[in-house]
Amino acid sequence: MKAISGIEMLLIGAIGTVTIISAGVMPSATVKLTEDKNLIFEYNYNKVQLFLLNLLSTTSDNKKVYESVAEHIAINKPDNLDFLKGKFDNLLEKKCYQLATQTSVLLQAVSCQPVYFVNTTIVLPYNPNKLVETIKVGIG
Amino acid sequence: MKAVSALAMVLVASLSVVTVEGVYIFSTVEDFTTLKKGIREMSIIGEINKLEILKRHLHQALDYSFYQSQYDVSRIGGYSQISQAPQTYNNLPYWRIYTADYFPDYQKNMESSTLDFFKKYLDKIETTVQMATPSNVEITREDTDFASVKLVNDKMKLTKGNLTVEENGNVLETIKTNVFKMYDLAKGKFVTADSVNQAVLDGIAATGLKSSGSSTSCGSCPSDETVFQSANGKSTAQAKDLIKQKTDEKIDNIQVTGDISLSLEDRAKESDVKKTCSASWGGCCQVACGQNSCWCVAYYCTNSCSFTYYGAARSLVKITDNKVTYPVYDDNEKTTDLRNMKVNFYVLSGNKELISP
Repeated sequence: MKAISGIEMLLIGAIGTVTIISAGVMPSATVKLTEDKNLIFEYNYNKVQLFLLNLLSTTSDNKKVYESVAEHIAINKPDNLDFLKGKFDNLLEKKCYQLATQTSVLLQAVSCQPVYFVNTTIVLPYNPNKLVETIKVGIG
Repeated sequence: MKAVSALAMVLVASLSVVTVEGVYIFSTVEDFTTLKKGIREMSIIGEINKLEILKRHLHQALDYSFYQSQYDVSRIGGYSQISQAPQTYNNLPYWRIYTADYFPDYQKNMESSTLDFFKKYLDKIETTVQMATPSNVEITREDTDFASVKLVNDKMKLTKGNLTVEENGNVLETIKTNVFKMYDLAKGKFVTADSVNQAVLDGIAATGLKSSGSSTSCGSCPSDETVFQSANGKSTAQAKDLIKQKTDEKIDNIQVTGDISLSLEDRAKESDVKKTCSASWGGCCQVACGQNSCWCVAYYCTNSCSFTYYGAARSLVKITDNKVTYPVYDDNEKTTDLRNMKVNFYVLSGNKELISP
């Protein structure tokens, strides 16, 4: 039986070391990556929620933005929401946004595609047949 | 010697592995703790955001419930249901029938109606927040232009894992409205005062019709109508028409234009003339003579009358806020649109009950 040479031993040691380190590091690295992703998702989800909250709380020309959006959806008055673009730009650093119902886009930035979205049901002016509408708010 | 160095190598390698793993595990554990804390904080912020977004929805639902309530209640003269009104005409309430007035507790009716609408909204708002069914709505007059609308509710509670967020469930909104001004105007003109009765009295006075007259004729008494015609230069029927015409003109004067307008429509008018007469005979007006003597064959008859004039009018009162519109649903048109608030009701008055309610 031939004795194991020093180089072979070194090689086996190196492979063993790498394997042991990898075996210890890989699972925790994978979990950490997943958790990082969760954190990033939560962060961005919160950002959209906060944007939505700001949007629903502000006013434009002494009228609540909430009312303008709800009345545009319910009775098409005002007939467009372009006057809110300035408000959206001020609220968002990246100026990348979209406001949509399930069937149509109400307002969106021209040059980008939002990545993070939240849905919420907003209250519409009284109509026994339709009291709320689900809107989708997205930011880039 | 060779064996020792190989053993040392394995030892060094093992030590390296243990050291590297130790450092890594320590930093990973630290990272995980921070990460978990971060995710938890993010999650708490997320839940608080959800609660805040829900509060925005509740405030808006209360606004829309109040708009609809003031529209529906005022459209039928201050009642939640027309069946609540003590007296009605054409599906609208009477606020006055001659001397009796029926002013609705419109504020209380708007409170109950607002609560009903709000509950309908609450059924449709999707939320993970625990909310009790609201028990009451209080509407307070802030000044002539604003109403404070308060939804009285128990606490709102949001639970996620070990986290519980509790909030006062009351929702308070201050809403611009002219509804109080409209009811004040209506009450002042038709409940506190009786403008329609005053219009009737002013109308009668404006006719210039005489309150008394007398006529004399020979041999027979002039009829009451003759006395009336000779006193006023017109027949009773013409006088009645004149009373109605003058009353109408005076009712026109009650109307108000401007931001809050008041109009009187669907008018019905009735009038009457009462003649109280007494005839008296005296003085010969026709003599017949024979061969020896003359005798009276006819005497003068004087008919003296006093005249009393009556009028009554019924009208639909419409008070409109021409300045502000609200997004509300109209049950007749079956649509939601921006509409002016209107208070509609009937009044019936005069100095005699000539028109039945």
